[in-house]
Amino acid sequence: MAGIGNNLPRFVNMGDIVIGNGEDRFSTVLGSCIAIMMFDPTQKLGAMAHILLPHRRASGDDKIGKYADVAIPEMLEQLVKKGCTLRKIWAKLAGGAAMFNASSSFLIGERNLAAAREVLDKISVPVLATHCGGTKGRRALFYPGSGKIIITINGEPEVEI
Amino acid sequence: MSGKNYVINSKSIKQLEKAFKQGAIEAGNALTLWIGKPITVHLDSITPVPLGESMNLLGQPDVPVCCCIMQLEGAFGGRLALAFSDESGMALSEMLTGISGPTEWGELEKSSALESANILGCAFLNAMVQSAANKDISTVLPSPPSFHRDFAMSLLQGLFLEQAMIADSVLFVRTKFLMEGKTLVWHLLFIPDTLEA
Repeated sequence: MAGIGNNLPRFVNMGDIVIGNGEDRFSTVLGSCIAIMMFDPTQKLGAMAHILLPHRRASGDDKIGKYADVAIPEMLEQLVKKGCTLRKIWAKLAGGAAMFNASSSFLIGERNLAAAREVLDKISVPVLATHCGGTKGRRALFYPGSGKIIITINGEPEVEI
Repeated sequence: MSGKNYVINSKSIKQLEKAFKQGAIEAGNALTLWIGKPITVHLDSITPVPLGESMNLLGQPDVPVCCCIMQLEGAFGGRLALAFSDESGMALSEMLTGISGPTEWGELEKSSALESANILGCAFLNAMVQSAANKDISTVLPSPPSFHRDFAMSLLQGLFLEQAMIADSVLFVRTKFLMEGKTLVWHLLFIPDTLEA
């Protein structure tokens, strides 16, 4: 599993999908992007994806972790391959800000969130919590061995979701 | 955006290199007059960069940085952003106001940064437009700058959003600043909207 034995959390870049357990920690920084975090409490195994856009383009690069519509099924498949059970898995979401209040930025953050919710709903993974929207960036710290998620907005106290 | 009649892509941005260089020179001249110390601005890069790599442009992704952002309208759309660390921004404020040792972003410090971005950005755009020798680029209208302080990666996601929607690389012009021979930790980023996939 990624990050085992490291003191620093593993940074999850845009388009990355990572799976971990035990003492692993994953962190990422979000603006309009969305972090999707899935966890199976029975297996104590979690996954994090950092998606950038709602839907995969017809032509473009093949890093499927960039797109909500293909990243989420991929996360689920990887978790199930590791022994997780679909009906036990839950998801939490963070990000989707409108960084500069511009119309396009506003739309993409919202569209990312809507797409993620739609795909999760379709595959019957419940969304237990979200920390989304607004005009500020976020740092998300995910403990895939326990499902704990800490969100930090610059200048504000951190919160657990 | 209405009124756009010029598309900046990886080919045309190369053709505009001379115009960007002139923009950088004039931006340096304007900043020198404004601050009262000799500052030169140099064109650093105009090469498309893979989206993932672009997220390190302003340093560590989870370190807060400041950004004064101007939206561009007219012949082409996009954004012009002056980005800097807290330390560099406070130093700029101190140079302009003579008030030593600011440690927080109050109204005075933000105002110093915004006015500097306005002067710098307008000088850059004016010189760029005038030296472009392309009648299609006759007018570019910047909005008043807005001040943002946030995680570097969050700000960059916002800046490159338009391009990320259609391409895997991002296109931007980056300049570097020198004051009395020393490199300043400031970045002027010109990020055009582009239709290139």
